[in-house]
Amino acid sequence: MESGSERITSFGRIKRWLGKNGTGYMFLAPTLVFLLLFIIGPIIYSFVLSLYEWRLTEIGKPKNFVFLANYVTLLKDHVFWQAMKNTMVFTVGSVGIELLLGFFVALLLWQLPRGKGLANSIILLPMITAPVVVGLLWRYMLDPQFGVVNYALRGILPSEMAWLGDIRLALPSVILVDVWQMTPFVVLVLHAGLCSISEEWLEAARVDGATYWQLIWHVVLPFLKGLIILVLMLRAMDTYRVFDTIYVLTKGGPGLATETIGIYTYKAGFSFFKMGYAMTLSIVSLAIVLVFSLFCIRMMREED
Amino acid sequence: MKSSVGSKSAQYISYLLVFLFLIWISVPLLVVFNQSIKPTLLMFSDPPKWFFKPTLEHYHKVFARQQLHKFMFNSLVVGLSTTVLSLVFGSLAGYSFARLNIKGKEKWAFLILLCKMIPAGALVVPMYYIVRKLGLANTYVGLIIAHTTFSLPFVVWMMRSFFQEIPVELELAAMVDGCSRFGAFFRITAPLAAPGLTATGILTLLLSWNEFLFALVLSGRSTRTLPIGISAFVGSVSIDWGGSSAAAVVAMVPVFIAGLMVQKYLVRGLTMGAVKG
Repeated sequence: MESGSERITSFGRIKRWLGKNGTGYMFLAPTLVFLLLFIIGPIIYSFVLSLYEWRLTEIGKPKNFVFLANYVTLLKDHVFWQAMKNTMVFTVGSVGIELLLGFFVALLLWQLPRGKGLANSIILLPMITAPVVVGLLWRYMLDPQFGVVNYALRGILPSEMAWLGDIRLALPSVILVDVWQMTPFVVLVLHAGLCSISEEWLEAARVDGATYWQLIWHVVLPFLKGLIILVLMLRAMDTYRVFDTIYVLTKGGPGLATETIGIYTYKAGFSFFKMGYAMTLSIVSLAIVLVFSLFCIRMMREED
Repeated sequence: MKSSVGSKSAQYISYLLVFLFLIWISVPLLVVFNQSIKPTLLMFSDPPKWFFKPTLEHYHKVFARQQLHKFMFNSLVVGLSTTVLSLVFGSLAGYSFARLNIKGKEKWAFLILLCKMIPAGALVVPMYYIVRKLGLANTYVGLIIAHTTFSLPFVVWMMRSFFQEIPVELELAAMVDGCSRFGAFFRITAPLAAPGLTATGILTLLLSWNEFLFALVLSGRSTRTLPIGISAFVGSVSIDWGGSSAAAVVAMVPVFIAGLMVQKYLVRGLTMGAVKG
């Protein structure tokens, strides 16, 4: 009966393990299975497919294995490097302005004795608007002939500006649109952070004779540091993946002026039908996001 | 924060600057609304006319000719299905993260967070391939799956933060009184988490309603969603200003109502539950 009792103990062990972990995993299973099937699976699969050369039009046919040739092509592809550069300029420009302007507005809002609720209700509107609609709004605003912006600047600027059609102005214009839409995000999150600073801390600093700016610098900013890193990370990941707004505003043009990595990946796959190469672009841009976010998360952990 | 500002004049300046920021925020929204009720004849007058006898011609046109209601219906089907699917799967997972004993819990939660960080631009090509292989291209199901990839991790983290706020003692008391874990979840915890669940659901619906890239690639003639319908107004050379403005307003109004309804939870939603707001 040696083996029998052994079986009982190992069965008992499984039962005990299930009792401890079973419900937890049962609750977790649907989510994990879904993400495995539809995110992690496709990504691993697309890594494999990035080693092949194949076109969207030949989706059923056997594919040509080229190993890392797509990656070599990518390194030499000047459109990729231009798109990367644009994406970086767009990300750094948008996030930088949004963070500074957003922090400033959040501070102002924090100091208002009344009317915060109403102001918040208006401020939240742009960021919940569909990016496609935001793109459309700004197509009107920036229209060279009939746009409100040119109308408002008439007399200030020497001539009417083709904001989205000019190779030097297109990228700054697109940044402006993102600043309009997403500064509210920074305002709302940092304002919530400011409201959670305890009044006693501020009072203590004031009793010690701190001026307003000393208060901001020595009490408020250190308190918000973790939150600012979080906002920075969320905004940077979002601007890095920008697609909808630019698609509606310029489709990446004029020339390559606003071509970002998201737009280029889409075009490679669905305009040029180079699927193997599109998957290579996907994998590379994914790797960049993961490295960046792991770095930010480590920074936040250290902050805690 | 009444005391941090010393002088009355500093307060007036704060009001003025916030007011200017609000103007900057609202002008494009007001312009598009103004355009949507502007008669076509006045659309391109110079200087622009802001006051006129309003007309509903553009609204009439986008529904009668461009069939905007069909796009809205598709958006609603995809949005509601995505929301239900994500809420059921996601709140179970969120609950287990907040409450149950799982080995390597933090690692799983982190893995789910990483899934949320994947840019849609990087996922859309593999997703297109898989959906097409499964024969789901141009169907609602394909699009619902795609939308759930970003809404599910969102729901998991949101619901985890809501469940963490409900005192565990309540649940334990119910279990002492003879409820099972499931019973305690459905009778005690779920009702207490209802406001959080509702807010999360509305935000999920909003994410799906606004989504563009997956819909662009995965939807077919009969399943196109509202953002695709709106982007179709933007031709390569010209835009139908009146029609597209009306369509934009139709897309924005429900979003604004939903956004104001969940205003209290918005900051939490924007940070995946990280900031309680």
